[in-house]
Amino acid sequence: MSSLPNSEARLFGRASIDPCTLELPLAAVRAKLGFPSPAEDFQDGAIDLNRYLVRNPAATFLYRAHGNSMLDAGIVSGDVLVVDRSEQPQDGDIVLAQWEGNAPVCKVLRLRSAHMELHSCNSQVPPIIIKGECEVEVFAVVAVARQVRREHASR
Amino acid sequence: MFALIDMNNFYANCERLFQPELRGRPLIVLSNNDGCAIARSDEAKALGVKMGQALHLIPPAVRRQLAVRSANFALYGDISARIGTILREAAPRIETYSIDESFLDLQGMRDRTRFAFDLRARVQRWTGIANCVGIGPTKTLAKLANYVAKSAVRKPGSYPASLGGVANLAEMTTADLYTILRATPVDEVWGVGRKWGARLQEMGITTAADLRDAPVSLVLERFGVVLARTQQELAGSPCIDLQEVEPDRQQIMVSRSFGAKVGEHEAVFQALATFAVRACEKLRQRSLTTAAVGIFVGTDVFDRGPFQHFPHRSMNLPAATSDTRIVLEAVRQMHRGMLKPKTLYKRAGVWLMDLARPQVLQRDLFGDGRVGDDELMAAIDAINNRWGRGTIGVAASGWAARPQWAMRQRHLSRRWTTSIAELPVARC
Repeated sequence: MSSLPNSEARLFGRASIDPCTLELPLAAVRAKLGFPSPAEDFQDGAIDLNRYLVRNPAATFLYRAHGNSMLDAGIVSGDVLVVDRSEQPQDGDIVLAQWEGNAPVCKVLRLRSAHMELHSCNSQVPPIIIKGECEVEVFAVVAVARQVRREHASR
Repeated sequence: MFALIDMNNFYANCERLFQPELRGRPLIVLSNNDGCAIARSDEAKALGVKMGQALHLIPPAVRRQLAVRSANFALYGDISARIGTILREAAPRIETYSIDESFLDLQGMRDRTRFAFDLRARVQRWTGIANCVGIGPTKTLAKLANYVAKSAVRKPGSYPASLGGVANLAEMTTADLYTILRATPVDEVWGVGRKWGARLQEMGITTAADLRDAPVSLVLERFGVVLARTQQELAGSPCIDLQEVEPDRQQIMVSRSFGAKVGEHEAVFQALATFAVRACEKLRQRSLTTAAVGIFVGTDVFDRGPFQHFPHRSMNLPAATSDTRIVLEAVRQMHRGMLKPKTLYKRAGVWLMDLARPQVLQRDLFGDGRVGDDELMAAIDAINNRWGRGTIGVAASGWAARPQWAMRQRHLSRRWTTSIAELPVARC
């Protein structure tokens, strides 16, 4: 586990989702034959990562992941979780769950007939069983953002 | 047809969003400088904490049960802006009435009650803030409907339980509406207030229904046209339209009390300069100019000693401006000789008066009626908007160092939604 890429907090912008966009130019695809490239139709000039990661800015909140129980789902301690409160979580989704005044946890949602379970992506960690009468808030985690830098690779 | 959507205990519920341990606990939010309670959770209200009550005047037995937070406007502003986005998507015309209340124009909408239930649920689900919606044919009735929707939940029995959360006064029989208006105290009517409320009660007008049915001539004669308009609105004829744009203000004031008492000339001037910078930013945000500047400082009113001093100064500027440097020069001139030696000051403020839009300014015989470097000011504002307030400043305000008069915010929560370094943590 120690060889896994570690990511630490790095400033990469404000968490407020203001309409400032990050535009990355797309390289034009060159057609080798006299035939026009079908890709040209899809070339619209720029990619906005905010729009890709955040579909509903008004309902999107960012959380910092802490802990290693979701490593097999690709969530590393220190990652930024993009949580969309307007998205309806379904069975099998990665979710942010909060109940009874506890700090929120990030797990995989399993809906059973009378209750729900929160599973870790780690066979050594048993699932959390939430009884039917317990009031729990569950929100969909729609993206994970991690900054990858040279110093992470060399560890 | 109007709706008023109002957030429940907005500041307290914003604090609870990212501090789940505060849910269900009595919680108050303190004003600037941690002076008094400006928001209370339902539990704190039940303990008898009053709006505006000073923290040091709350009995210790109650104080011990309270969770206390300093006002975190970075957080409240962000949540309020998100709610604004949701409302603007739902209705074409809205008026942001305050940080936690908005009017919506529901003209031409079909099932308004259904719409209100959906909107209420959406705001609650998307932002986590519980709220109530009131609907009425006038803004005054929409506001009253909102009071009904809130009270029906908070004080069971005050109104029919079916009106909890969403109350639509527009789809009601005349008799039912009368029952609602009869159950509503007259001073809860929008625009009445305590002073008029007391006078109305002396005249036997104690409920909203009484006011609606009082003789118009009497209301006009005793209270004037403003209350007569309220009366008409209660009867269902709209007199007050949405204000989608904030009306031009008569003056802009920035004032604060200091975290610690300050005696040095230079420190007081730095405080005044900082407030002047902020006031000028507000001025430019509204595309206005100022032609008169006032400053004041004051000692602590709770010190009952003989050294009280509340001097103030104001001056006309030679020409209208929105240039921070010109306002600062005026502040510097006025501040000279204003303070008494060996006196500790607790409060200061700057106000800008004689505000105008540049387009309507009279041209001066010798010039343009307006001075200052607009491009420089626009550049400073743009930099501070892009990189955060205080990135670039005018040296007089000493903006870079943390000054001794900085606000006291001992119980400030984090900037969970506006700083990447302070994100809430999810365990996994």
